[in-house]
Order: sequence, then C-alpha cells, then structure tokens
Amino acid sequence: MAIVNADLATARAEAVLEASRRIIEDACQSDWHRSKLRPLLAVGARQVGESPLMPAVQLPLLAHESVRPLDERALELAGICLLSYLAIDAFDNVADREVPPEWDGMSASDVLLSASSIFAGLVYKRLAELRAWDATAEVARALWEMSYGQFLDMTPWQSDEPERPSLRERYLQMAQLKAGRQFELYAALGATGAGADEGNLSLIREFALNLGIAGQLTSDCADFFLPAGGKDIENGKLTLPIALLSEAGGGDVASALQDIERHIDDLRAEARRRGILTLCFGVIACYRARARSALDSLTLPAPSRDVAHSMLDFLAARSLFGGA
Amino acid sequence: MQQTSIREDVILQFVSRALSDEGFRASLADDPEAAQKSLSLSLTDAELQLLDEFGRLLQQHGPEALEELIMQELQQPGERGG
Repeated sequence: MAIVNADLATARAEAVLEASRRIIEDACQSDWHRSKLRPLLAVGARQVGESPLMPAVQLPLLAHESVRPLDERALELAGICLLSYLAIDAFDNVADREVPPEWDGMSASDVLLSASSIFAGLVYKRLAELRAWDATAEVARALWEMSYGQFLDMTPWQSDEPERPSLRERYLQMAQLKAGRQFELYAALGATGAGADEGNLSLIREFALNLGIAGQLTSDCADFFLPAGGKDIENGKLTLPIALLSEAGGGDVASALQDIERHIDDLRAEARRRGILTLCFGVIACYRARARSALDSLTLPAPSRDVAHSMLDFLAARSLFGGA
Repeated sequence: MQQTSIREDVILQFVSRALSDEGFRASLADDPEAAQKSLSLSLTDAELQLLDEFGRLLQQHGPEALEELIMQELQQPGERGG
C-alpha cells in the first residue's frame, strides 16, 4: 500500500531524526559518552528509513499541527518522543532477546544503561530546559503506566493476574498500557507543546490510543497466524488469538495451549477452523473505527490528514477497511 | 447527536453468529436491520455502522474467502509499533 504524501512523511521523519541527534550531541559530555548512545540513533536511522510513518515521529507533529503550524519547538518535542521510543524499544528488545545488529558487541547491561539513561535522564533534562512542565508530567505518568503494561506483557499468560479474570481483558489491558499509552504519550506531547485545549487534547489522545492498540493487535495476529511468525509464542506472550481460542475452549484446546510451542501448528489450524482470525479482525476493526472517528473530528491540513490516514492503514488492518 | 462508542463484545457476538449461522448471514443481505435486532442488543450508531461494514464484507466474500483476505492483509508489511 502506498503512503499518501510519502515525501511529507519522509521529510518530517528525517527532520525529527536530526532533532534527536542534536539532543544527544549537545547533552553528552564527551565523544566517549556519545559513543555509548550512538547505537540507539543508528537503530533510529534504520527504522525511520524503513518506516517514515513511525508514530513516534509523526504523531507529535500531527498533534501539534492540529493546534497550530509546526515550529522548532514541535520538532524538538518530536525528537524527544523518538528518543523515548528508541529507549523503550531497546529495553523491549533485551526483554524479548531480539537485540538488533546496531547493538552488536554490547552487553545487555550496556544496552539497558543506555536506554534508561535516555528515558530516566535525558528526556526529563531536555524537557526541563524547554520548561515544558506539562509534557514532563505527561512523560512521568505515561512511563509509569507503560511499565505496568510491560509487567503484564512479560508475565507468562498462564500465571494468575487476579484483577483481570478473562484472558481477553488482560490482553487488551496490556495492549492499551503498552502500545496505546505509548502512542498517546507522543500525541499528548505534541499537543501540550502547542498549547492544545482540553477538547483538542482529548481527541488527539483518543486517536493515538486507539491507533496504538489497533496496531499492537494487528502485529500480534500476524505473529500468531503467519507461518513466519511465532516469536511471541517463543517468548510466552499472551496475544489476542490465544485469548479468543482459550475463550472458545473445547476439545483439546486447553491442554494444547498449556504446551503451545509444541502444538502451534495444530492451534493455528484450529483457530482458523473456528473463525478466530475473523473474530480478531472484528476486534481490530473496533479500535480502528474509534481512531478513525477521533481523527475525523480533528482539524488538520489536508496533506497531514493524508499522513494520519496512511498511518492508520499501515498499522491497522490496512486495506480491507480502507474506506471505513 | 451520534453515539460513537463501540464495544468489542458486541462485534464479537455479531461476528460469531455470522460465522456459525448461515441463516443469519442470509438475513444480513435481505434485511440487515432485522438481523442486527435479532442479536437482542441495543446498538450505538457507530456500532451499527461497523456491523454494516462487516456484514457487507461477509456477504461479498463469504466466511472462508474473507479469512483468506485477512491473511493477505496480515502479510502486507506494516509499520513498527513505535
């Protein structure tokens, strides 16, 4: 699927990457210090090149633009969002044992130190220098909530989590706290930086939150159903197909789910037979429709609106509901 | 004013019924409003719109072909989560 207004998305992605680079270059105390954080930027440069629609880059700018035209401060806040994402992603990569090539030769502790020095140090330092107090509070709240989502994500799904008796509820809560809250953070930073009023802030939060959840669901369904997937299963992650399959129950499903890695092919076939893929798609469509409804209520210049729609199409269920 | 809330449970109930009940699928084509009412749910405008969309997809493709289309969708390269 082509990105509408791809040049705009690419130009913005490059400008935000440059802003992130500047933040690190200016803040570090020596070249040696910079060298500890450059792999993070190298991962960012690769990802931005592959995916100019990256929400950490585009959402803060779209949110800012829904209030007023972009300026240097908007780019700087987007640069902070990109750094936050790269730090969170590095942490996630270590947790999932999926360390990208740019970190080659570094120990897990080095990667974690670099990541935490960004999201526990540099991000707050720069926001304070910008005197962006609302944004500072937003980052603190979001990281705290996202850490709960990370706990849920890393806890084997067979373990008890008494507050959420249903696996589906538990999974959707995790998706909301991880990807949803992360996207909401990026949008809220852009919007508060532009001085958004409550109404506008609420709409942009709603768009980003649901976009994030829909994207997480789509990615998790791909991991379960596609033969090339299975990483989440290897890592013991709870995903929507597992939750819905468990809810459907019956036959040998419950015992096969207890040893999922061994029975994955049978479970995939069983899930297809029971229409779990279509059910998952129905849930994705709910979040997609919520995001779409919020986006329709936002005031945005036409090219930026195109970029927002392209993000929604790429992240969530793509072309089947392209017109919905 | 339009009601915009959308509940996952409603969509799941609708899709489950549409997948398992051929008569329900047929009634979606003949009289979608009556078919939706037969779910005994009070639906918001946004839910009705989404169910219409889903009903059309199921009518157009049938359950098996729709699954294949969703599989094709999943195979398209998407963006990273961040």
